[in-house]
Amino acid sequence: MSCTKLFKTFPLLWSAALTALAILTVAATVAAQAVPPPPIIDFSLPAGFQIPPSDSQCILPGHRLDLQCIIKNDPDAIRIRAEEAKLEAQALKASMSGKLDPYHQVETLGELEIFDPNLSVNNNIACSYCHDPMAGYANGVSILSVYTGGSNPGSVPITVHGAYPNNRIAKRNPQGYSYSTYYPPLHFNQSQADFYGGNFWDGRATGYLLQNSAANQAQGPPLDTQEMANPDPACVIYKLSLSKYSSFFEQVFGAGSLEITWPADVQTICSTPAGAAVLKGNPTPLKLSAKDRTLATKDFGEFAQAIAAYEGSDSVSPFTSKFDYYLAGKATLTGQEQNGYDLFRGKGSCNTCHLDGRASTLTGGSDTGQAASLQPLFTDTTYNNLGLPKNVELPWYSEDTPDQWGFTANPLGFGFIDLGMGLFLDGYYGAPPNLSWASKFPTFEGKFQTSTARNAAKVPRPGFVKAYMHNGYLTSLKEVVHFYNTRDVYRYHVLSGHCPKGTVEKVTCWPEPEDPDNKNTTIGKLGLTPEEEDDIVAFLQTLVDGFKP
Amino acid sequence: MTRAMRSRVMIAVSVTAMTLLFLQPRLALAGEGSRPTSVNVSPTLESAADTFAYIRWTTRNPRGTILHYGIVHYGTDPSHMDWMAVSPNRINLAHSDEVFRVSMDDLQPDTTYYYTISSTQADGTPDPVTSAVQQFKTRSTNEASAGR
Repeated sequence: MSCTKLFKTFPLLWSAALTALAILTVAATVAAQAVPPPPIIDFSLPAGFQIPPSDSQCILPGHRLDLQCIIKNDPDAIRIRAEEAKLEAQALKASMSGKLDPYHQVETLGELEIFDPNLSVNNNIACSYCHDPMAGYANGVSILSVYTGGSNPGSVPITVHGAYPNNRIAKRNPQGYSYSTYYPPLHFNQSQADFYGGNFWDGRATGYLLQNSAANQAQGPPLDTQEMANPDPACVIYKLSLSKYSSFFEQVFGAGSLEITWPADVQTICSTPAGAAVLKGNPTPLKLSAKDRTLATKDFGEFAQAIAAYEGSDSVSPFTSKFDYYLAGKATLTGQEQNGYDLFRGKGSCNTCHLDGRASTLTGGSDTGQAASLQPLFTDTTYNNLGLPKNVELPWYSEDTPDQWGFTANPLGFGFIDLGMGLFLDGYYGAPPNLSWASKFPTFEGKFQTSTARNAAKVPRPGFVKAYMHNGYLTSLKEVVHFYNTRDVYRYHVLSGHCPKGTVEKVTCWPEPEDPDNKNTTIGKLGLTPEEEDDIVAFLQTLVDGFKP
Repeated sequence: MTRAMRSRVMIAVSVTAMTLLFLQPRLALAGEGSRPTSVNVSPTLESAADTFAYIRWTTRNPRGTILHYGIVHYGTDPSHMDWMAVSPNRINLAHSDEVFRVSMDDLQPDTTYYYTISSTQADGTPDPVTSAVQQFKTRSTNEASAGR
């Protein structure tokens, strides 16, 4: 229902809404003018985390990082680039073997694309840079989890003197993409009056056009100003046409797929980062004939579908965790894991959203011991506001001045409030494809997607710090479970970094939510003991793929 | 108008809309016929600080949609409990009983509040649950700490 219709139907709304409008417009104006810069706080480092020696030169005052220095020197960043080069070479070899059946051809093509750094505007980062296989296809750079909420620097360095951050960087912690293809296209379930499916933390990869939300998601980062920053979807195809696997793309999607007549300035435009002032806001600055534009658009869809095929492949989403083998009767959970599982589906109520395919063990439950689903996804694909505090360490809050391209990523600076699905519904990325969804903003703002718990525990090595949740505020599974357990027990009216004396942030103090509206109270006071929290963490370890029975 | 400003405005409109459009008409309609007999529950004060409090109650699993809204109607006068706090709660179909919790924010310190509870499904259909009027008092500001 449009606002006009709403107000005509319910005239009582007028007075209330107009009063609220007047009051809040004034308040918001004052607030917008008085937004302070992000606080500079010297947070303590997570227990057990040590700054790698090669990173010590990259640490700036105020718990900040020289991002260009991290990209060049950090051991995890170096490891990831080496891994992706190796995987890219393996996939290239496989693509040229002539032995792949059609099923594996499209998966391999997706693998080639996902590990190819040349598809970014500066030919320097691949999708996998932010989605490390060794970290469950989430952020694989430990020091970023500690200093930037897990958000990753993108393709474009910022060279403005004294700028912080000195590289464009994403506004959120990258979501792992294993099992992402099992999320259906975003839809509003009428009988449940709830959104299901979609990809991205805020559901904006609806999959409405390709009918594949994971493929729709794969079209996002290549064009995101903060990530791979291509200025035009056709630039991705242009770069793909220059790759060593261009003929393989045509083998999969048809001869002539890449036969596009590129304009003389294609290299100039395709090396200009998205958002640059010179592009004047044009989302398709490459001048192509109508026929070539249509072909490039078709190619961009197929490019994304191949990535989705890889994400759904046995390499990424194989259902080979210890828990899967437990369901198959080929593995036995330890006592602690079993206790954690019983808490997961009982006292902790975790499986209310992280569906395990079985019944509850809480009072009155009737678990027969038989799995209702033999490949449970550990998500219901819905959206919730968990009441996470604002992560003041996100460099995004400082990206409020123009870079050398005349682009300002976050004009609101520290005043930016991440409304999650509310941003998408409210038009932050443009109008939602289903215009009726906009009216659902009131009950969905502040909500973020329930990620699968599968592979949440996967880390590249012992001692690795992994960032959790959309803003990476939590940096261990213990913290995650403790937050669910005690959010409302240790609630304080403070911003992160300002917990009262005598408390410890994330242990005995939880700052206020970034967005208090629609805060879910299913969680917040679960009554788990510290040992029970540990047991749930032990169970979560059984959801990591690659178990050998 | 910036996005943040528009968002703030939308929040205000949304709260009003949710109250008048979404919940109240449904509640009114439900009184016209098929509504099952309400079960009286005994909500309790889970915790209170100076400006916020949590109310909780346990009831038979109301079923229906997975997403429910716990609702607390409250005020400083037991005959005028005109304010409303609404919190999303998700139910687990495998549970025989469900705990509802509602977060009450923006309260005044050192003040006595009176309240009753209710809940609805995600589409506004009311659950058959009511309570007698209860009361609690917020802490004074100088003794405020975490809501325990």
